[in-house]
Amino acid sequence: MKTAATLPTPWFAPAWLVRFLRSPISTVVGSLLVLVVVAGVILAPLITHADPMALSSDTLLEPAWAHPMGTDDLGRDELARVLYGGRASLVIGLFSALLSVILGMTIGMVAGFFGGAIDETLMRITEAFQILPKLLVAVVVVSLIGSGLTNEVLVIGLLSWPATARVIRGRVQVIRHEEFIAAAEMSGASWLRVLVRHVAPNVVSFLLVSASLQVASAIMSESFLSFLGLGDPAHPSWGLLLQQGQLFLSDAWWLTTFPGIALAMTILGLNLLGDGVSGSRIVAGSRR
Amino acid sequence: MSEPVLSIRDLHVSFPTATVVQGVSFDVMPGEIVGVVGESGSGKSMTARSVLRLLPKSARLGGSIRFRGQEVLDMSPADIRAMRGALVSMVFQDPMTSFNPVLRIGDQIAEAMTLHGQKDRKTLSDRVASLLASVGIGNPKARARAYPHEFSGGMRQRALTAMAVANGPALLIADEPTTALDVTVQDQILQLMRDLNATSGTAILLITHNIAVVASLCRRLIVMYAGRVVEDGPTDEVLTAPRHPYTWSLLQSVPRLDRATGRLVAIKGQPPDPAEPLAGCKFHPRCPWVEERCTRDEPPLEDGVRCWVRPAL
Repeated sequence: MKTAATLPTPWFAPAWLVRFLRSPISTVVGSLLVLVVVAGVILAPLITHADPMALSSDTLLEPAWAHPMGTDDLGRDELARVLYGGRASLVIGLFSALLSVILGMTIGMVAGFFGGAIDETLMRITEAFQILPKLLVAVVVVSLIGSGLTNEVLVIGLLSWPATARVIRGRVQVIRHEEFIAAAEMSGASWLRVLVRHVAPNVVSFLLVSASLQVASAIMSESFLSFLGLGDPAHPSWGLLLQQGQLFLSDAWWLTTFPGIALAMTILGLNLLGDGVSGSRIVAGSRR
Repeated sequence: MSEPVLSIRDLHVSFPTATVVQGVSFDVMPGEIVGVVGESGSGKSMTARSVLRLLPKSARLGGSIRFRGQEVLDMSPADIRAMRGALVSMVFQDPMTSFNPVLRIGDQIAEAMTLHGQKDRKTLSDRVASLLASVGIGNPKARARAYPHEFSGGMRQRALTAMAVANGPALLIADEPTTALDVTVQDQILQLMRDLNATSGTAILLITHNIAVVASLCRRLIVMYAGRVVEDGPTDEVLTAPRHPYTWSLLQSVPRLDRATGRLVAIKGQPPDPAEPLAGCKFHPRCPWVEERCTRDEPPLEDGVRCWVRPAL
């Protein structure tokens, strides 16, 4: 850590950039991919003036200057649909990952901290969730309660917390016996305070890894649901675009290729990022 | 004669597999520094941790521990929390692991005070700085913002001591506070404890297996063996004229610079396994003066010694 700081820094590169480029290659590539996707999705109105929902008579046009990614069977601009579709995918991915990480963290921390009967009970519940065929259950539940952003977030989030819970529980079991926990208890801290102030900050780095993988898998799950026709047509996501595009697979390759590339970039980027973070000093250090 | 700050009577600590403390009794007077020595597994740490009720869940406690006349073993969890860190606090053995690695040192010291009612940020940060200064950490305002890995072992142990005395406790329990430190740093920590005791009148219960540490700091010394107190008396008397064969053997095995002793004498044999009951005096299998009744009945602690024979040592 000292060496990086003392190495000469070129005038054109600020110190943080040098530090970033020195981090593992997977972190650099992963964060660049994610950055490109997120920037494109957020800056969609600046990139294209086309309306993703506006119909026109120019149906199934090949990619050209006017429509860089072509148009679909209803004459809608595919570039706009991919960019705006990313919003639905990313929002569902982020919020369901957030839900599952919060659930998994809470359950994992309580189970790991208290142990005994509480741990047994929580872990049996976790296993019960883990053995559920996740996508099948998601398909059934979404078709019963109806599609829509909120429902998809809830279903995906509620089905994907067990992995996080198990990772966090294992880590907390180690931290629980560290002397500083006894020291905090010795200072007169209640169990809730010990858990929130002393245990939680020590598992956050693990959550970072877990969360980035969780976002990737939630986006995949959402695409899967959309592909099976359970998406929300009012909020077209990449999965929905793929589903609509596969009808024209032989006539209009661009309708599946571009959403597919966007999806693959995001998933790959998030996985690389998670990988890079888990190998980085912060996480490796707290693992000891 | 004033009331003892801590009064332990017939304390028993047992686990499902073994009894590790049996019938320990002693008092600590206000402002007194009491040393407890014994080898690993003699029950000294368990005795100390019982005072704060910091034992594993499977431990069963018996007897009585009175802190300023109040029975600790009957306290509610809320009362115990109110006592911990405020009236009785503890310095742990390993300064490397006693701080949370992801929180700033100053915040952790401040937390000890926040938990006992002090909420004002300005007062807290001033108090943290003056505490760090009082344990000899230079530039305390800046150092309070440091993380534990930025402190050396000795600095951490001082910061830990600062944290332990933050609320001006009546009793400080130091569980092997110098074991993990260099000799020079050891000396600083001991001096720090001596100063604390002199300036604020905090009573100190010092748990150690290092006789030199006890000799330099404590006025009274308690020797433990196999979960029992075997000798209890003024430090200089215990060290120069031990009355229990175990204390004597222990002193024989300490290297000395002031006289040529030739080979060091090791105590033969092993301490008894707490899981297997042993009749009579617990030291009898290793005692050179063992008699027939030593193997049959356990001697009581009388006049500060637990021995039937009381050989002239």
